[in-house]
Amino acid sequence: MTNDQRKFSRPFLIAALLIATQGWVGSETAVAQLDRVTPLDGKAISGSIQSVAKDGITIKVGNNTEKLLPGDIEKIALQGDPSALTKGREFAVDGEYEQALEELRKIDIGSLKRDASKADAAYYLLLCEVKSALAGRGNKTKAASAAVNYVRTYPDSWHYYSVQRLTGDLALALNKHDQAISFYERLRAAPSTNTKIESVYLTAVAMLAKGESASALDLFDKVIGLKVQSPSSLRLQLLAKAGKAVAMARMDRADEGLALVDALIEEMGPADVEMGARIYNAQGASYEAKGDDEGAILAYLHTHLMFSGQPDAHAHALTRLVDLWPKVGKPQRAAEAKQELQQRYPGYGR
Amino acid sequence: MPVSSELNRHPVDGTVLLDPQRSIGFVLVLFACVFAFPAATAKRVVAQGEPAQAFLDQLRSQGYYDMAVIYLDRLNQYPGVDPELLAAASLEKAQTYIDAAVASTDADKRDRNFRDAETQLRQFTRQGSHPRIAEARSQLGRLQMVRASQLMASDPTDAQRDAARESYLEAAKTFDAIVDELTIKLKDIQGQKIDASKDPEAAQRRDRYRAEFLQAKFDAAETRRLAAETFKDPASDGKALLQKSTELFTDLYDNYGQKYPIGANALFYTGRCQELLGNNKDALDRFMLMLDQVDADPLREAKFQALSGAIRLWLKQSPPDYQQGIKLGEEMLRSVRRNEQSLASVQELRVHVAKAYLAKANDGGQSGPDKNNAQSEGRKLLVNASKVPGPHLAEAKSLMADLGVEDTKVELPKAEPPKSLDDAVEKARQLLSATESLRQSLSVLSSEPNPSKEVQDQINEITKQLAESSGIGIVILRGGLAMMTRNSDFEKVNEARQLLTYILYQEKRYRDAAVVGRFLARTSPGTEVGLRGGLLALNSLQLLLAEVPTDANAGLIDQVDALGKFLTKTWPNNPDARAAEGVMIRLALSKDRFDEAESLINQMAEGPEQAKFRRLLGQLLYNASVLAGRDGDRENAQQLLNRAGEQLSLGLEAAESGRVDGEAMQAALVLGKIYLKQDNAAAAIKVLDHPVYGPIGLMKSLGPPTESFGGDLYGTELQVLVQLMISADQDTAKLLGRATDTMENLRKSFAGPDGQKRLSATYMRMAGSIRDQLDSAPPAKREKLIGAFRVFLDRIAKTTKNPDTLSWVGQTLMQMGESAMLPTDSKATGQAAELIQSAASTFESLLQGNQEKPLALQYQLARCYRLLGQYKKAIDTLATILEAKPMMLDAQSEAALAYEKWAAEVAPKYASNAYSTALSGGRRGADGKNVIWGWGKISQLTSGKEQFRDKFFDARYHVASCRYLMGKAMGSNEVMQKAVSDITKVASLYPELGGPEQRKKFDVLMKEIQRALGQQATGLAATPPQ
Repeated sequence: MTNDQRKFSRPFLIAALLIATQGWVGSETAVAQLDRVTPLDGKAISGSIQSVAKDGITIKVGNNTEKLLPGDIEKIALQGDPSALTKGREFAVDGEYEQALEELRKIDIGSLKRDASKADAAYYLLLCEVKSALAGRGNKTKAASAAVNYVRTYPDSWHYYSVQRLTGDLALALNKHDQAISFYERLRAAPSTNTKIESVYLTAVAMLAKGESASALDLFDKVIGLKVQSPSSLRLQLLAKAGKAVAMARMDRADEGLALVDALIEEMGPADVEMGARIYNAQGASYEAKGDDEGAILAYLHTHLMFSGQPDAHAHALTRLVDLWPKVGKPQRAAEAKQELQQRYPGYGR
Repeated sequence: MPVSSELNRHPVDGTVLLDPQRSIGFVLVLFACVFAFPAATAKRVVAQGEPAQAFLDQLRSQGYYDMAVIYLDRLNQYPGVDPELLAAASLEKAQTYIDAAVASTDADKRDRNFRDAETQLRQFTRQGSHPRIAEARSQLGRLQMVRASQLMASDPTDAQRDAARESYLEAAKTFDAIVDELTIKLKDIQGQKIDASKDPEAAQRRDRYRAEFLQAKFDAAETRRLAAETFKDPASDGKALLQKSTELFTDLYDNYGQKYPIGANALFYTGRCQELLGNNKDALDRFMLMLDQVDADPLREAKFQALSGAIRLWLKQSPPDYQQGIKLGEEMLRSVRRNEQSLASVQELRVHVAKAYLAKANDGGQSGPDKNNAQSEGRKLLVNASKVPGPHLAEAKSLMADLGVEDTKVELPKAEPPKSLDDAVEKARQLLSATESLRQSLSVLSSEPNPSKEVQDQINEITKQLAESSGIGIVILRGGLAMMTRNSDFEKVNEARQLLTYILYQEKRYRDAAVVGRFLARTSPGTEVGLRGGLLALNSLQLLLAEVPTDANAGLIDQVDALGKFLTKTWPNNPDARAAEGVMIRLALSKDRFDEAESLINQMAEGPEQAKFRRLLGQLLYNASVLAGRDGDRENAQQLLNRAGEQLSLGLEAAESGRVDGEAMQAALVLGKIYLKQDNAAAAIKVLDHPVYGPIGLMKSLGPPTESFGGDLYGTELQVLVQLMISADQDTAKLLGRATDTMENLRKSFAGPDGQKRLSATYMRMAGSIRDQLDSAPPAKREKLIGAFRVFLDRIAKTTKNPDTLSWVGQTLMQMGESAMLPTDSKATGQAAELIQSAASTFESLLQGNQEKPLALQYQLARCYRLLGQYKKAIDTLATILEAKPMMLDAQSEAALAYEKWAAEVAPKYASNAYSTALSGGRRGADGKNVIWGWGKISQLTSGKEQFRDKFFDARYHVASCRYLMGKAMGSNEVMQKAVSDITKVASLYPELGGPEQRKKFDVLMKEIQRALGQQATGLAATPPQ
């Protein structure tokens, strides 16, 4: 080895040594491995999961036992989960479905020791498949069959209602509006208030897609009129307002819709991609209804350039841009939007 | 906004400097960067409302310039747009037009966009009062500079030179105007004597004006220098301009050089002007003076440029003085940081140092090897510089072509079998040298923040080459080692092994690297080569540990352990080998080998590292003590606790003031808990309040290290305070005052959506902990403790209306009451009754103030009533609960128990009926069924359900007990015999009877019944556990 290489290797070695040992201290301080349930609006609860059912999870923390409803849970982690499941779950929860799939495919579900781990692994595989299909990168009908199979295989999974929702989303994407409504309505049986509200909201979304704007508007109003406190439910109310604005635009009440959208923009947090995408798509619909093509293009460009992380809304915005660009004398940009739509969401609308 | 590496950056703030000798492509990139600066300083809208600035930036970055202009036109229609941005719409439009011009490939469109930009800028500057006016003026000046440099971009005609000069001089006028205007403003401000602490806004405005003033002064000088360079002979035709420029730069340096980087950097530009004037000696002096300026980040680029200038001048001397250039150049290039690797000024310096080497190679006085070496070094520098796009590229490539280097690919040895071990080592060395060069190139290229496709392709190519060359190196070295014989040179063999370990390690083949490196260490103990091999092996094993799942890493941990021990033992005084100590300690701790860890820590040199390990050990010992306590091993728990206290105390005493972090706060909290457990509240409070590491004080300065820390800390503090209250010499009133504050801190620690829930959980834990303390305290101390708690709880109850806190008060009072009862007591008397009565009153008042009448509260109240012997009230309350929630098992058990206890107190003639109710339930509901189930139904419904195992055996015990007492009250042996049968049936089905404790209860009961029946009291002997 030359002197240069020695100089290079020594500090590198020491640095690497330190890096390699850093993680150990934290792991050693843990007294025992535990299960963990992370609620949507709060800090993870560590303890021993006593039971997992479609109506909730019971976890024992010290001498106390807590029950969490499925609609209030973000994720769980079980003692003994293989690292592929832990990583895959994290990726899936973060919306990184392709990376999640890479990890989850490493798991032999049959070899998992705990039933809850099996159901969890199968769910996240399903979630990835459904989300890919919804983003136009997979077969929606096949994903829907997988969802139905999941419910048959794991009828008491805590993901039961999430799967019903995903099945509804697939039906909606396949333009089977009545089926979507039926799946969304099943969420009303969920024990969590938030999921019940979500049921109404999603039903309204499906009705809007079906062309029943007046009925959709009534349901959106129902959600908006509820007295709720939790951040998740308050968020649903904001989404319902965005939905209501679209319904209004379709009912020749675009000015009212725009006023609603303006109020939403004032409240909008910059980090909520889905919210941003829905609000600006609603603004686009309102401007379109008013015949303001430039305003509509700018609204859909907001979704395209700033909130493209919500695939269905992004695909919708691109679809509208394809139609709108030629109206302002930019057919080339319409072609670009179409190309992006086809590349990113090849199965969208089909 | 893309930032090209080929740009000259402003010496102060990163603004791009203009150089007329540029290609058109370069100038266009330059435009983008010149005008990126103002936009980057604009306020970003990140809060709620229309995200206007971000959207605008996105529109521009995606090339939707027309839509950006339309958006700006209708900006006032969007809600929540920053008013400052609304007022600056023209400025933003100008930015948009400039961006459009930069992006345009059509010269006419570009000009039109520049014109539009100028119009917008002029329009904006007419506003007069906007805070970004000076910025706009500055933009206007820069726009004029850009247009000029565009004209000078490639081989300009005379007319283009004239037009460029005119534009530069226009720009100079603009900057002069800015300087004049800001001079007046600054003088005015100077008269106001601003105090930044009293009027921060005015101070901020003053600082901004000052920065803009200096920038404009700099630009005024620079535009004149650039104007001079539009002449074919600047020294003669541009003399006046260069003299003026020198004058302005000198003024900047003389007046501001000591205070502001822009002033210091002006020195380099005075040198550049002198160089252009042909005053080489003056120029060199100034460049050298620049190099002597203080070592500060904002001056680094000007120093790179100054050294390039100096080398240029040294090489012009006759004979050329290349030695200084090589010496200083190499020195400076070694100091280049990772983020500077792709700077244009660094490439320029590389090219200049390469030229110095080439001058040395061309010096006839050089020997053959020196000449070759100089040429090789020059070539290396040129190759590296040519990896980075930029204006230096043409010259670098031309110089490389002169050297006969057409292709910059590094020649790598081929994977041919080595002829001998020596040959293998030689080839591997060459290969490492070549790959080192590749790695440097990769490092330079990878530091590019936004690599172009060209750069990315190069990165991919080099990465591929590196992978291939490592593979070749491994094959060659293995081939060479296979040729080893008894007569081979041992040092050569070891060198081959070390090279092989190193390449394997770099290739992330950690298992192989560990095997070879460990072998090297074991076979060459005490040598440098052995140590390097051992450390590489240790490192590889640790990296492997990060990859291998925890449940499969036992073997690896053993390997790390063994190697670490070997390294520290074999190279005891080597600092690198000592790094293995930490690994060893962590390993020992990971396996709970506390004695070994302690011994290793004791062997470490005293200092912060040792103290940190002591604190870690102390916390782990504490954890182990808690676990031992839970397992009932009290003696071991106490020993571990004492050891934990010693380690934490030593570890914390060595903590240095001002260097304490969250880890030490955690350690101090644990030590506080230990002292509390050791009944030494005075020591505990000292630790919590310690001036260096006390977590109470550090919470204010550092904040909580983890989310749950605050709750844990204040909960502990409360317990310490209560302990102190029972000490004789304490100021109780003061302690109570502090406890009230602590309660408030505790409450505040649980903010957020589920704060109340977590606060309640903490209260419950504290109540349990207090009960534990009471249970383990000797009677005299228990009484004192209860007294102190009582005072404390009364105080809390009086100062809060928070239902969770009050509920905790009630719960704690009840726990204390129960603790004061004897195990044989059916109901509370004396102090216990008093406490439980207080608890009941607290629960009653809470229920009165709560419309929802929470069942949990009602349940607690019912328990109080039962413990106080107020059975009817207890049963009434429990019946209400059970009507609402029949499946509440705790309430069912409590109701059955209330009936059973009541039965013991009623007149004998009613007793049998009362016991029957305890067994079969009571309080008929609307459906004709009993609302209160009684022990019989409870035992039926809990039978066979694992989660209710304890409840089941408890219920079966009470079934037998009630039956026996009923029989006794009735004087019926038959009924009492049934009680025996109740027990034997359960015992035959479940011989363990729910565990030793429960079995003992059954045994005692059985004996009592047997005695009552006049039988021999054999207990459960007939049904032994299986």
